[in-house]
Amino acid sequence: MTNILNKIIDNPRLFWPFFTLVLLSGSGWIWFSTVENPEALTAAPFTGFLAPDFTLETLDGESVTLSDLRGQVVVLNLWASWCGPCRAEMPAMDEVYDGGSDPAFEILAVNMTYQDEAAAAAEFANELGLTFPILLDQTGTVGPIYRLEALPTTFFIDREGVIRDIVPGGPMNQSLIRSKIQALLDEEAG
Amino acid sequence: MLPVLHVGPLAIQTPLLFLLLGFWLATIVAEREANRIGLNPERLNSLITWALFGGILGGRLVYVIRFFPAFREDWWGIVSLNPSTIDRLGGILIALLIAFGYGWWHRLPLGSSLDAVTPAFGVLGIALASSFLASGAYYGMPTTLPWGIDLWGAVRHPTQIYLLIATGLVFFTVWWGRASFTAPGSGVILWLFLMAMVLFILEGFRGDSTLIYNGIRGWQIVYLIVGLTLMIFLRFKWSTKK
Repeated sequence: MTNILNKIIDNPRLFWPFFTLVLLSGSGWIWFSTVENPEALTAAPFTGFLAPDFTLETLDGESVTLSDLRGQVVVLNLWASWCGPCRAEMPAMDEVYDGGSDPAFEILAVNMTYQDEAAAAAEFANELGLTFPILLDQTGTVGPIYRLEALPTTFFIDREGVIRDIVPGGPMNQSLIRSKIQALLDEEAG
Repeated sequence: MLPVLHVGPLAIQTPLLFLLLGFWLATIVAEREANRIGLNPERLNSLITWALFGGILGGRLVYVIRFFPAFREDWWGIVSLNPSTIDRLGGILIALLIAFGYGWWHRLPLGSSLDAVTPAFGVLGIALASSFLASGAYYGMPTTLPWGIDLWGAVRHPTQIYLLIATGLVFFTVWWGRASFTAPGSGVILWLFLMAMVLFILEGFRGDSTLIYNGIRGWQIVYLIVGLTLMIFLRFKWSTKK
């Protein structure tokens, strides 16, 4: 193939027709592959898609639905009390959350209760004095729809409910969490 | 799609694993090419190492500058091992600057050095395509074709597999044809031209393209302009008769 290309490049009688062919067929491909009807935004656990919706109860028995938080940037953290990196990043998340002082964003920590115990989650949250909502996935709803492969996994969701960034594994530090939230807040404010 | 590989208690991120494997293989290939071309392989290895570490540190530095207020309250975050706080574009640009600076400082011949690392670029291209396949990134448009794959809630073009095959073909084309490149630098220009054409064609199958005016895919125009410019470059600068 390189020999053919060399021949084309070396010979002006072949090069310019080939160049024109690439230009014309390229323009044709651009026109042909134009997106007339952009794909409707669907739910999937990946960047660029709507965050799959769910309703879960908190440790206090309050019901939280993800889609009700549209208009806020949401940090969705999937965790378990037996997972070391999950436990290690919780203080940083709580520091950033600051008792929910900034209404522009929300942190939801979904405990994989179907692989854990609600009592263990509650004990851990009390021990650290966590102030953000801890949701309990008792029946294994959220783990599978978010194709959970490793704990912890954190999804950064914009005000439109679209997943914009995923951080698999941990522990995350404060600067990481703050910068990801800031990126979404700045972008939408601009 | 296999984003995480579980080995005992370890959860290994497969996309990152493919990239690391790609860097390791790329270094070996570049050293072999340097020997073949007659360049100092240790010098080339140092260039790659400097560029790689400079790119990682530079990418972190750019990220810290972009989000400085976030780091003001958590200085340790600057030295965190988490790759999520690396600015990719900034890192690549700084890696290229360091590579060119190192080559200039040590008076490495530009064209031959670039030819020596071209197969390594090819290996990295394959590694990147493999990482997309593992993570589910670079996904395709919905399709009814029989070879469509079920991904992200629809049956889609397996664009990651198209890219993997195409980067493999480009690599082998450049690898087998490299003996015929008489002018220094022609190998890297040919690789860039073929990759621009591959990305241009595949962009038309992607489901995550950036759309500009009237549904036109913006990157297609960029790839076509780059491809045509490189063709002219090959014709006037590195034609074998010159």
